[in-house]
Amino acid sequence: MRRARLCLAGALALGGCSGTPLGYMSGSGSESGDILQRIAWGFSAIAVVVTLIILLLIGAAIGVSIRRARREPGAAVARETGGLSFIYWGVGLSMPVLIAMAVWNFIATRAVAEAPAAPGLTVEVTGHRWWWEIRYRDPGQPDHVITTANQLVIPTGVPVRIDLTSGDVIHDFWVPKLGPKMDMIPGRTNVTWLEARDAGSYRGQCAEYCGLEHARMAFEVTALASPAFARWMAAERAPATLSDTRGQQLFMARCAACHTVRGTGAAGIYGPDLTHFASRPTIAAGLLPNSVAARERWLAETQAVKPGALMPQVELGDADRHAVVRYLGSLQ
Amino acid sequence: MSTSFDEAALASGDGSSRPVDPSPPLSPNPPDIAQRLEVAWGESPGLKGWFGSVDHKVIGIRYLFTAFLFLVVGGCEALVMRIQLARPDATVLTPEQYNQLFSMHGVTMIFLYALPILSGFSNFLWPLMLGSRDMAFPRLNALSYWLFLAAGIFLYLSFPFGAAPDGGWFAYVPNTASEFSPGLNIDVYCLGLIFLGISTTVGSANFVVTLLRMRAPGMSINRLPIIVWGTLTASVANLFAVPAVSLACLFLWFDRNLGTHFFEVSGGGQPLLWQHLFWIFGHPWVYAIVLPAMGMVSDALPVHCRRPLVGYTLVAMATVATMVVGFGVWLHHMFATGVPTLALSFFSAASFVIAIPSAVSVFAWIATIWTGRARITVPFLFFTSVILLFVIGGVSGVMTASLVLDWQLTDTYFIVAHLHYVLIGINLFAVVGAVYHWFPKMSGRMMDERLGRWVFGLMFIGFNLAFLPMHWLGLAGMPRRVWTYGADMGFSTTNMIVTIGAFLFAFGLLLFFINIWRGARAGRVAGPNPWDGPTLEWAIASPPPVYNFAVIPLVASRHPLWEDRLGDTDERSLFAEGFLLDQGKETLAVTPLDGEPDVILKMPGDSWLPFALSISLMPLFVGLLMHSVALAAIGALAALIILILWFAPHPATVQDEAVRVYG
Amino acid sequence: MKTAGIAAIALAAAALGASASGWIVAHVAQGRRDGVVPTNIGYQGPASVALGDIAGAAVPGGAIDMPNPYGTSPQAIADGKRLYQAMNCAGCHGYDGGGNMGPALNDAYWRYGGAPAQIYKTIYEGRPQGMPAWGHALPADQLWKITAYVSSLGGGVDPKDAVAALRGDRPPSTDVKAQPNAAEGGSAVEGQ
Repeated sequence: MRRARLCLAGALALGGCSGTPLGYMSGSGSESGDILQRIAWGFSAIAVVVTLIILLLIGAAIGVSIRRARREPGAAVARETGGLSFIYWGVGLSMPVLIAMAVWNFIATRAVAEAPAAPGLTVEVTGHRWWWEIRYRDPGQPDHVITTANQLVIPTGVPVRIDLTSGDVIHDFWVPKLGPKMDMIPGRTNVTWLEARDAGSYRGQCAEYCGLEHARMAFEVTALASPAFARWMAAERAPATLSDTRGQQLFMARCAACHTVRGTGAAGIYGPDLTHFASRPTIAAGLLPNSVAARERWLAETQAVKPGALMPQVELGDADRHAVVRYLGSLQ
Repeated sequence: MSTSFDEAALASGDGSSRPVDPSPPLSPNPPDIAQRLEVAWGESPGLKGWFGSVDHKVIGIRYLFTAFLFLVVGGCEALVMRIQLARPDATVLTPEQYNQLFSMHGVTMIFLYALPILSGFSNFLWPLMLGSRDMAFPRLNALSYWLFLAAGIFLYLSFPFGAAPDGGWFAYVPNTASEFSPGLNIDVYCLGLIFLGISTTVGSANFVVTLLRMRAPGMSINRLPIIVWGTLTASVANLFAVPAVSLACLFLWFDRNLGTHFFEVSGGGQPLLWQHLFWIFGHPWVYAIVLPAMGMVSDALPVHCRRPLVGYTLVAMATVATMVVGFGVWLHHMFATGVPTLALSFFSAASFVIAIPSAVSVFAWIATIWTGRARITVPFLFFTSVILLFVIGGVSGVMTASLVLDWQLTDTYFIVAHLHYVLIGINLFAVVGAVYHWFPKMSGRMMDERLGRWVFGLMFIGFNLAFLPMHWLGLAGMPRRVWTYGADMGFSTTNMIVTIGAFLFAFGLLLFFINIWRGARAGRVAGPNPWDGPTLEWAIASPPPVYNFAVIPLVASRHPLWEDRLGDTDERSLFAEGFLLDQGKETLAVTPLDGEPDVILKMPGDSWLPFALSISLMPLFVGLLMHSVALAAIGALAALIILILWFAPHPATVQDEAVRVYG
Repeated sequence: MKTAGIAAIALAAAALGASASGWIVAHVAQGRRDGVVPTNIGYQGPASVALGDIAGAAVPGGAIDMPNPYGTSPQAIADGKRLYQAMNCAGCHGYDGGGNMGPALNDAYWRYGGAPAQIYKTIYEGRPQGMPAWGHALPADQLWKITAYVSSLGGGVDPKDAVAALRGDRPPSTDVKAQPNAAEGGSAVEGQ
């Protein structure tokens, strides 16, 4: 028990300033995240204190009891008075603590759950097994939908409304350092909102069991200052350029049935949109970094890297695979 | 009337020939009457006696045995999962294997271990504590056990075919709809739970009627042991809650096999309907699997503190209040589903409120220790640890009751930590303590105290080493139900610690089973009342005769065997005088509230029917699973025939019998 | 009573061991089935089908009677259904394969053969008058999954009947479901 407590303390200490990528006890990047962080620390502290008090009470009770037993040996059975006061005091002291926690809870709930009056940006995120489809509606041209995958880019300081749904089973959208989680349920649109305060990269994770690779369904939220966000939006809006490389030819033949690259003839809807694939920080829904080696590995051993993924093992010779990877690298 | 209590005997715990309690049992058992009662109540010879036994003690021990077996199986599933999770990116298991294991771990522990183990204790103890000779419906009792075994076998038959349920124990649609779970896995789940639900329902009905009718005269409602309150509350709750999950499973099976669309979005169905139906069962269920265990602590801890429980009435009322409020909190399992925040806030408030009756029990136990004379026996150690582990589980539960904080905590390892603290901390630790406490009554022998302390130490340290760090893992963001995690997530070291703790805990449990085995073979003879307990079960021999009480006692207080020493009432319970119901297999029925004698009940003898009915339901469920109309029809027909035989009226003559009184 | 207990424990342990080994074996077998990536279906013939050589029956080494490596695995059928919809097969063949612009896939009539390997070849190579060639766009295991789904729609032919079932096309006005095929000893006349 003591050993476990030391481990706990040590782990917390080692957590450092931003903690773990998915942790919400530190490194918050938004006001909601701050509120959640404070209540997490506060309630944890109350929990630890209450546990320690009870531990002390139990220890004291055993001590008092043994002492009385030693004083009066034999088969003595007696009903000592004063027991009920423990219950009255215990429950009586617990109630204000519970009420205080409940009030804190309701205040924080209101602050976190209440959407701002006018979101500056609306993004639709659709969960699939096991990747994230992210669609921006171009404010200038509402019929224009800019589709990307596995990376949610948002401007800092702007409340972003996120419309969540699912294309198959129930998933859950969760960016611990920015806000609370919200289920993505097919046939229904749930709304959540994020407002990043600090620019940076925040990790998200699916938080509802959705089948084989629920564990590997992560994503990145990239918060950019408004000018940088506008630049990213402009780049994203632009289609990919057509070229005549072997890589593109192979892509059209072997990958276009499932993937879309705007500006080419690839218009598959089964897998993630790859139009600006090379500009993303990770691939395979947060599983691998977006490096040349990782792209090679992903194409060469898809099922070994993410067993059960719906992307099949595509048979390519080494030279062909290098060509496709080169082409993918050109999709900035 | 105190028994001669031998402290040293407890400590030595070896197979010494002198029983711990050498005095004869308080409830008389004259040889001529005993012989007549043996003839009436004794087990039939041969296979009929084994398969057809309706003795509540036999059924209770069978429940314990089978539930412990499922505990071991579920525990092995967990250990394999822990091996996979000990290191990041491990490939010990494939995702499909991991998903089947964690789903079956949940189903096994929650359905096949947690309630049946408490049913086993209740089955064994209730008539003994209530001063009766059997449960209200002995054949129904046997049926509930055989159905439980059959349903467990049905669920586990899927394993050799690699088709174990893999949608989690909660089986959310649409992941478990036929489109995304096309194999038989989820059909096994649906039909298995419906199958098991029959067992739970008949068992619960049996408990409720037993409580209302089958008590000794004078055992009024305010003299019942708390385990009786706990199991009664749980049984009433199950009668309301189990139909919800059976209905949900039926709807899911229809959706998957008959093309209905209760949950199918494309047909206008609602995925959230499943969650509502499931959790309106699920939450009362988790209280049903801890309240009887808390009752066992409330009954047995005072014995080792040498004083009655502090605040009996408050604890009894808190038990019922917990269950009632427990029906009003189910949406706290769905806080993240997008249900409007105002509605969720009501359930968040109710989830805070439900902590209060739990606090009553905790402080009652602490008060009992503080104002008692503690005897540091192994049961005492386990029951005391229940208090601490309950509180840890309770405070983490209060954290999750908070709507906004739960939006971070839910679906992370924090919830895994919370649920294991409440389920293992309250249910398993209380059960192990209860085994040490009542094993002498069940088998007539003591379990070794020294080995017991080792068991306690290993279990306590192992459990906390395994589950305390999980709180941190949850706060660090590790999601649930993941077959692996990345090396850069920061979870690696803690997961290794958790795995080590899990194995330590398992080793402790192994020693526990060895302790049981050794105790049964060569433990010290116990005698009727080795712990000097106050309630009626300690007034008869260990193990009890098949008819429990030769002379039905008359009860005058909550602690019949301590009345002399407590001295708070002049009334005395009577053992040497009472109803002598020996004209056949008879016992007494009383009025529900005050416990006044009402009628004499003729009890059924051993019967093949419960076993046969369970067997006949197997082809029905397997036929439904495999879409074999012939097989299902055979099973249904056989079940119908057996039911007709069961309910066939006997030519019974209602007589006005002259009641014989002993003494 | 004690012997009964020991016997029960031994039985339970044996059952547990058998169950566990059965589960492991079943998973290994399933893994071998699911992980199969057949790169060569044994077809060594020309890439196009000569008119009159229905479904490549005259091609040596065509392996026309090979079974679907996925068998009737429900997972493969479910995956195949999803691919059928995602690749817009339904656009020509209708949802549930009832036929629309393209022929029905749920009846017993197959212009180019209804055995698994024949369906595979049809999808792989494309066919005259509109069926696109998917062989380069989708890998072999996905094609087999779509094949499994199509075979499950009601008209699939057993692999061993592949050659016997070569009966060509039927005019759409005929009640297609009622006519048996040659392998079942029907008496319907070919080429009406």
